[in-house]
Amino acid sequence: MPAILEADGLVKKYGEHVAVDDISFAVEEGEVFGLLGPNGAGKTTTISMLTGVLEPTAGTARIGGHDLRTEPTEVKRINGLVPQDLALYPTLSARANLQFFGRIYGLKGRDLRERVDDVLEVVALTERANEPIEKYSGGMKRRVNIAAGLVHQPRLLFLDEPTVGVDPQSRNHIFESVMKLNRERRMSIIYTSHYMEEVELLCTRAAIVDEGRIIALDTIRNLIARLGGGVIQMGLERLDDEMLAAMRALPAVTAVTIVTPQPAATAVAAAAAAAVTGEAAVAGEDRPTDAKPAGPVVKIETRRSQDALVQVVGYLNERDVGFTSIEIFEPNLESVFLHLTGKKLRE
Amino acid sequence: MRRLTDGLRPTLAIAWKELQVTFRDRGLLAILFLLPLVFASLFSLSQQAAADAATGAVPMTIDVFVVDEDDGPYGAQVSSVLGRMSVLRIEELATAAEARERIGQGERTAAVIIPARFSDAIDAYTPTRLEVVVDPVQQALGAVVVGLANYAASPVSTQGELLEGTRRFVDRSGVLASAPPEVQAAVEAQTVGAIMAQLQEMQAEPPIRVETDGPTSSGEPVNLMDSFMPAFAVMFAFFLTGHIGQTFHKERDEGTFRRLLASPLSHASIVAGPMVAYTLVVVIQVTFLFAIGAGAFRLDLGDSLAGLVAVSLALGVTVACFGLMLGVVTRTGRQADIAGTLAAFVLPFISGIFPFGGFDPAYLAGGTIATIGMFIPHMHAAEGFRLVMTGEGTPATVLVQVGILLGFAAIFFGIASRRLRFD
Repeated sequence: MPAILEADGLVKKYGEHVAVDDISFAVEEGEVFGLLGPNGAGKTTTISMLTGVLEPTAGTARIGGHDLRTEPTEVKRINGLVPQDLALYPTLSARANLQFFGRIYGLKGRDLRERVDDVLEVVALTERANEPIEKYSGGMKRRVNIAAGLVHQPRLLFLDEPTVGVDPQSRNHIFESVMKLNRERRMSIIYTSHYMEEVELLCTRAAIVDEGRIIALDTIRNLIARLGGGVIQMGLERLDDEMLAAMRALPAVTAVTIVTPQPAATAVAAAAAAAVTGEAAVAGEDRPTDAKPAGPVVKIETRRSQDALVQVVGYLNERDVGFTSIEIFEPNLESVFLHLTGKKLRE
Repeated sequence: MRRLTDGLRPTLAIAWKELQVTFRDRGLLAILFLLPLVFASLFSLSQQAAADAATGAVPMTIDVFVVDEDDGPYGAQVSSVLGRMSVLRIEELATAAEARERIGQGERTAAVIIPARFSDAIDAYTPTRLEVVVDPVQQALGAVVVGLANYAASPVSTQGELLEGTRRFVDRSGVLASAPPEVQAAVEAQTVGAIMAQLQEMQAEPPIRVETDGPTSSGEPVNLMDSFMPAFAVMFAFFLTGHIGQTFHKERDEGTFRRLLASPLSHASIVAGPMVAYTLVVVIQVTFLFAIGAGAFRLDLGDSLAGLVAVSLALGVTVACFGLMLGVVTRTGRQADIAGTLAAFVLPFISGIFPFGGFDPAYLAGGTIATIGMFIPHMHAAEGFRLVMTGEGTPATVLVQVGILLGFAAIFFGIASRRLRFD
């Protein structure tokens, strides 16, 4: 499959601050590619350079065979951009907005009318197309925002956090639209998000971005497989070398590492916070109810987290060692990100 | 040509979008179109009495219907003379019946009815008459209309009398008895024509001239709308600058600017589109205000439409560039709006475009205010309009003001483009 996009060493600096640091990746024609990273990781800056909004400090990209630096107009005709903000004119109707965004790509007359009708149908807003956008709900505005990026039929669509602040129903509709565009129109899509579920659902491959750099790039399956069967983070009353060796030898465990010992109060508070926010996938854990002073914390990488949990808890029972906290990170992009950076995606 | 239109299309698309957005902003429309109308009306009406007292002139008009049921030239001649009388405001109606009915309803002071076959009767020197229908409650003004109708009919009456007199003279003298009828007709026509020409010349230069004079002035009625409307038009055109600056910030803040930058539009189109739109808004605004002024308040627009268009366009370009500059030099939309509003309020007064203490713009009196005004675009726009409307300006002097305005626009645009960033 030929590449529609090849980014080569993109750098963006603002004075001393490096927002994007030597990013290179390729996207195949017809692929849905994810850029996953926390807020401020450099995803939007990367997209801004690839769409010609920002000039790279260094590096370049080829899009549809055209060089971003030397043939920006050709590149811009291939690209479609759906910015993170609602980049629309609120007092104008959806139709008037789409007509305007079509005209600036050179569409006119019957062609323009047909394209506008088409994208209104894609985002299911034909019925209310003539109402001012300011009267729409947040989700409807998001859908028009997407339609505005589609009206000129781009070959490569950049969707920058398209579901921020969207209700679940509209979110599902956006997912369906993205999948339909890719499936039926063979549109290549670059999808940025800090919601790992969205990237897992929509993308075939993804790059994980942090602090302006790509720290991992692979298919979603391979990225998750890096983590094996998940991670268990466990606070213990005590730990010695023998216990460590025994746990490493358990069949469902692939590795055990000691996390820097923490003060007991912090460990308990972290466990409690994770339980309240529910951000980490917590399953089958036996959270202690009493805030006992905690000992060391270990990170146990597993082949299958449930099996490993049973084996580790059984071993600890045999040794009569209690535990002060348990967090289980099932294998997903969130845990991959945590594994790679030591940070949560939404920190 | 096709390349040119294709190149202009994106600019025009942006301009059209900008116009759509602007004309959906009711608050802005009220500021641009209604407020100057209200201010100009209030100021000119409040000071008109003083102006009339000072000039000794009490301009008055009488509203009259004219019905011309005659097919010939004399009816048209009477109607034309009535139409040229500044004291009368004429509306032509098709039938006498309609005129009588509407006079009965009090719509006009009087109706002058020129009967059918009026011209034939004049030519044949048979009795005929003009009918003046007067509103019973406006008898005094009706009498004035009767007198004016008589005045308008008198040349026609004289011409009929001359024609008949010439015909009788020729018949009785027998000098043309043996001449063929067409020669007799030609001699009659030539004689009447020569006498009428002499008569008209004498009327134009009467041996006795009656003049009226007020206590202080020439007696020319002053219409203060002629001074206030252009001044308010210029002032309120600059109210658009805050909106332009704010729109510039909005585009950046709301992300639409990113979309424009991601499209194949050139940077020139992104800047030129709004410039075209806001120039047009100013031209529409000035046209609206002047049309209302001329229609409802007898604003004298002068004779040069081209001059008005040139000054309006130059004003529009200046306003658009000033607004762009505000957008670029301010940090937020709110700052741009406040700066634009302040400039719109303050600059007209310090440039002396209003006729305070007189009937002419203050800058015409010279002195400090005129010196300051030289450096403010408002004064040059107002002066451009004044030169065109009063007929005092030549194409060259009007073009000087247009050129100065465009010079200001170039300076504003230069400042804006030095600081304008596209990322």
